[in-house]
Amino acid sequence: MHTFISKVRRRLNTGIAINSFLLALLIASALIVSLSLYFIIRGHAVETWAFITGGCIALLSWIALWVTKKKNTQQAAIYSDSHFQLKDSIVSSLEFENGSTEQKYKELQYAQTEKKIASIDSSTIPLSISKKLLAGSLASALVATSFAFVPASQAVLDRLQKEKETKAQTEEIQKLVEAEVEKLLEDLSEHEKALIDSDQIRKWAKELKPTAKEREAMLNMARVKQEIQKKIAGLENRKNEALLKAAGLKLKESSNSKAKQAGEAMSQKDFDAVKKSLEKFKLKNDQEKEHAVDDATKELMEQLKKGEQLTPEERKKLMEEFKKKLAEVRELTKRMAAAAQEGNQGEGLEEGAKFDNLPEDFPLDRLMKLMNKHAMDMQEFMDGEMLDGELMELEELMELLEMLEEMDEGLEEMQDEMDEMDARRRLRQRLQELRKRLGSGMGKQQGQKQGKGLRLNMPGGKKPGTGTDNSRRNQKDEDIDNKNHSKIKGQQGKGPVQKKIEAADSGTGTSHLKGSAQQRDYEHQMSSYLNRDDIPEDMKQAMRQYYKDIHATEQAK
Amino acid sequence: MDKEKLEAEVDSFKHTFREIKEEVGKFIVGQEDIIQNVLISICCGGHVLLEGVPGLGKTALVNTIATALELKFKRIQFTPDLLPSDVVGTQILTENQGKREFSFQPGPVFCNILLADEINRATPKTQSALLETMQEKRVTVANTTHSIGLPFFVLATQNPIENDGTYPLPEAQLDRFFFKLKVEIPNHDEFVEILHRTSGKEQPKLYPAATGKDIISMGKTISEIPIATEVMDHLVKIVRATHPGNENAPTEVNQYVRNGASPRAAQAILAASRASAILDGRYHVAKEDIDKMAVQAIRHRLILSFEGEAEGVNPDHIIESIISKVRKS
Repeated sequence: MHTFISKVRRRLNTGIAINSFLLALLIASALIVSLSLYFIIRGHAVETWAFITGGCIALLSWIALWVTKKKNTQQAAIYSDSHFQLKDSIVSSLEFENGSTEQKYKELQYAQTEKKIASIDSSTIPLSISKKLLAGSLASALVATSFAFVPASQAVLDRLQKEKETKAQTEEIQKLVEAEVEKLLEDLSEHEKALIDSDQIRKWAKELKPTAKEREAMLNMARVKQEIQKKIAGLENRKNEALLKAAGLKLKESSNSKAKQAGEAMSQKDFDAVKKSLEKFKLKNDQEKEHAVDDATKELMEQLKKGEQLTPEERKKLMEEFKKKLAEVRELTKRMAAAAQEGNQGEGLEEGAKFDNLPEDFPLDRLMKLMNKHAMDMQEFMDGEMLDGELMELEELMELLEMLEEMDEGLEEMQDEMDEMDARRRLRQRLQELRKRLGSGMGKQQGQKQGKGLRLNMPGGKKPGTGTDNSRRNQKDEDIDNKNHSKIKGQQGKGPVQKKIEAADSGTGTSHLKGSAQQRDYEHQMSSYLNRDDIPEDMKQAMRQYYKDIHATEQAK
Repeated sequence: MDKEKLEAEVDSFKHTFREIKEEVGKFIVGQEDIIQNVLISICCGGHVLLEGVPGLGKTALVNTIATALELKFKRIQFTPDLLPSDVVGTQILTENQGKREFSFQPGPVFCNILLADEINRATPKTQSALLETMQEKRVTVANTTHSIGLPFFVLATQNPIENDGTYPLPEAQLDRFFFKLKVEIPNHDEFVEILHRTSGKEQPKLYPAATGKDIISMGKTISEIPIATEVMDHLVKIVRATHPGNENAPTEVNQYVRNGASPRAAQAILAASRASAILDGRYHVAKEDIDKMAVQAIRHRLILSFEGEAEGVNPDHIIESIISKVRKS
């Protein structure tokens, strides 16, 4: 009997297992179909994890259902009695077998049951597989499986490809920028290093984090370029440079050759040449040729400092030399001060002003005025002492010498100022170069194909390696419309003057396509502007509309 | 106990039962279910209430059974003027050797099979006198208790169509009946057969097929048939489902039943199911046996509510719906 019950139980549990499997399959298929539709509607191919998840759920559901529904011995006995119409024979036999109280008819009943089941075939028990469930689960499994073969839409593939490219591009850009920044920091002079925080510059490179999102990449780039621009603005030295140029023009009018030379250098803003020319006005300098004073005068100055007695001839010579020096210096400082005065930008001098107390933002103005005042004081002193035509006493000569040496300090300050101005200009140039290269394609400078580099392209357009940043279009293949119809175009004759008169050595580098480079830079700036988060949306919209209208007007013309 | 002996006991039961049935069948046409249930009742020591219109052979049936069992048979026709003493007996003044004394004159109950015809025509006082006897199987008159010999069975009858001047049996007394059986009108062929048998010159001769001792022995055999817990649960569920509010009670019970069956009903069903199992050739009680015996054991114990009575609800249908619901659960 136990064998029979086991067979029945196995048979029943097989049916349960099959039905549970079908139900689990239906559940899992429904889940996979739902997930698949989520992907397909968005244009993606169905990802493998959806199927794996469905499979795992199917397996777990199957096990859970089978464990909860499977029949035990008692249930199998009840089923057997019912199905084979045994009238509770098996159930009774099982109970009487295990019963503690003695049943008189136990053995007879057991034997009777065994006789009854001897002729029964347990395999006649139907597996009771639901046809609806079978059809439903197979159909849904088929549908779910078919979704595995649905490819991603072209738009999605393109987007994914674009994201991949963007990620790769931004990684490359970051590396390039880091390399550029390190190179820039290596090449900095001491003066330039003092003007910039190297950690801050390195931080710029770090801000260009690799990302798959184009908008994020463009925002990062725009942010970094803003930072660079801010720094460049901070390094501007217009007032001092303008004053220097104006002073140069004034000095060029002088009849003194040294002053003229200095003026020439100043008007060209050749800081190095200015430094050299100022050296000639010093009382003491280390240059061999074109000394401020000859050796004999030098010797006399040494003796004077030592307090040695000088002969009248020696005193006279010294006086003449000092007078000559003063005249030169006076010529220099007078004209420089005149330029400063005409500019009228700086403040007036206060009582007891010194060379070592110069304002940070406009030191040149004050320096020139100070130097002029000092020269005037020297002149006044000299005129006072030489009024009666007598030779100056040693003490007076000493005082004049000290004044001349003090003037040397002023000249040195001015030379330092030239160094600083030079450093600022160089740093500005370097940063502008860096900023330009961020916008217009570092890749070209790294020897890569045209079109690749830091510029992140909008979707559509030409494929990488086939495009060009040259406005001349010689290619015959068509551009793919990327639906980006918002063109940034100014009104002819109304926008800012794009032409700029600059000296060749002060520009950002020679370019035979200056106009187009500027236009592209302008476009890029506008694009960065429009992508900024702090600009209100309605303003951005208004700007876009403005340029659209302009474009429409131009077309109408 | 020896297996063979047990088998022999069961075989003897089946054989005796069959013989009694056949003997009764010689005279009574059809009504096989009624005969079977009456015999089962007798074997289980229970009393039966027969309900049927006059002329269906209820009295003849009881008479025939009594003859077949070689049991002392008495009949009481219950009328409204019947007194309890007419049923149980009374003290009468007798003269014994010149001495006058009261002696007990036993009533008709002192028999083995008593036919209480139209029991619902007697007054409640007379009814209760009989019903006490049914329960106790003894009679107390003038402080003296007299035992009625075993076996003792009461087969009462009542007419379902005549309600004027009747005293319906109270629920407590109805509960004492093992079964309530409804005697139906015979079908066409049975009618014809009845006429053939009863209009002939000679009536079939009946012979005793068993004795009272046999009946007692059969009762003992019945009581030893085992029942599995699963089947016992089924029985209990059915009886409990006759009570309104029970989880297995169908809507009809909640709507039409005032009071359900007592444990006495369950005892009756169990005893009868055991007999049914033996007759079916089994050594265990099955749910089919329970279902088969439930209706006749419960129908007179189900107290209908006013709504049930007003709508003329048949208790048999309620019991069948209970069985159906319990089966499905």
